[in-house]
Amino acid sequence: MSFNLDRRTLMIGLGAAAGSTAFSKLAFSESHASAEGPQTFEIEMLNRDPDNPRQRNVFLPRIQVANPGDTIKFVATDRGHNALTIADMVPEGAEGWKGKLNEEIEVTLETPGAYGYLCTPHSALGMVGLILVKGEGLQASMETAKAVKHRGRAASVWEEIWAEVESENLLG
Amino acid sequence: MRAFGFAFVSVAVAAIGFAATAFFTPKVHLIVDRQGDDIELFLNAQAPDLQPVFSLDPAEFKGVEGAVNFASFRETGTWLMADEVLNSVSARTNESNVLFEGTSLMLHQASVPVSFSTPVDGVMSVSVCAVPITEPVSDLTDYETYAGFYARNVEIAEDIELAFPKTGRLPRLVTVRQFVDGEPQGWNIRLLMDGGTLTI
Repeated sequence: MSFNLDRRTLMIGLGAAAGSTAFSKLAFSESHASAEGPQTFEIEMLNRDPDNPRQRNVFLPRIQVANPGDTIKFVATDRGHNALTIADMVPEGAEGWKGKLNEEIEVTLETPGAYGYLCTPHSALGMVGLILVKGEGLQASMETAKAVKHRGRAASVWEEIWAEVESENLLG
Repeated sequence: MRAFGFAFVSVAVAAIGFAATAFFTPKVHLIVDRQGDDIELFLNAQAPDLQPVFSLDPAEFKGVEGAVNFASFRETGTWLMADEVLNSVSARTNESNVLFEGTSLMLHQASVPVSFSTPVDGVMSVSVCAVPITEPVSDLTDYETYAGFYARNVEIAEDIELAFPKTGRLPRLVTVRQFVDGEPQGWNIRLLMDGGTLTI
């Protein structure tokens, strides 16, 4: 999967134009620290990726880059999904979250680091996602998160995610 | 002349046996999708046929209340149930064992048509959120099982041999549909003997 800077720049521009809420159909989305203060990002819980119909049960974007204080809103666009953090994929000192099925939750992330999360009924089918909160400790948190084992298709999806983080230089 | 007659009768008996198998025994369907070094497998079989083919009592899917609780499927996921299906089936290439991990399992009423021809069909069929939640079901006689599995780090060109348990059952016809990255590569029907192997 590849992305070009122009699309990302366009997305960021649209996000800024929309005010405090940014939204992206891309596989990843990136926050830019701004004088406007914390932002809110939406992550859709979907039965299928609109850009890749073969890819079922997805979070979109599946990688979100944020700044401390930003809020993530999980949007139940399709039913039958939830979002909860994966054990050992939450930065030290931070709290995870556990959304119920079909529940739209908002989480404000203050602690820098890598937050891995999944959809309970679809995790083994590869419905997982990553939020990177910039700041000190992000790199170490990433290494801890990468060491976690996953089952089924999720293991392959996580490999794609780690590769994407690297190729897009999302750790900054 | 007698030898010819014997051969003719033998062929006829075999043909009748195959036809009888085709008409009178439950069928098993497999979708195999190779994606790089990964293989995704989807299985469809009648729920009552899990015991003779996979040595698994479908009652294992029932909760403590003695019924299948579809609402709880959504709460917890069903990959561990899928694991149970292949527990007694060994998978290996020439070189090594292959670990298929369950991804999801779902039961659908046999009277409700479920598309099962492509890998996307496979994902849909095993998804626990794709159908309305019904009341808990205690009798699985009229239910079909759909289960998904995923194996990693398998050479794409390698055949995988699935060895089934010996349970004293009749032969089964197995439809195998092969895909690479979701693109169809062909399909065929195999005869799976009791305790036999299936190469995919």
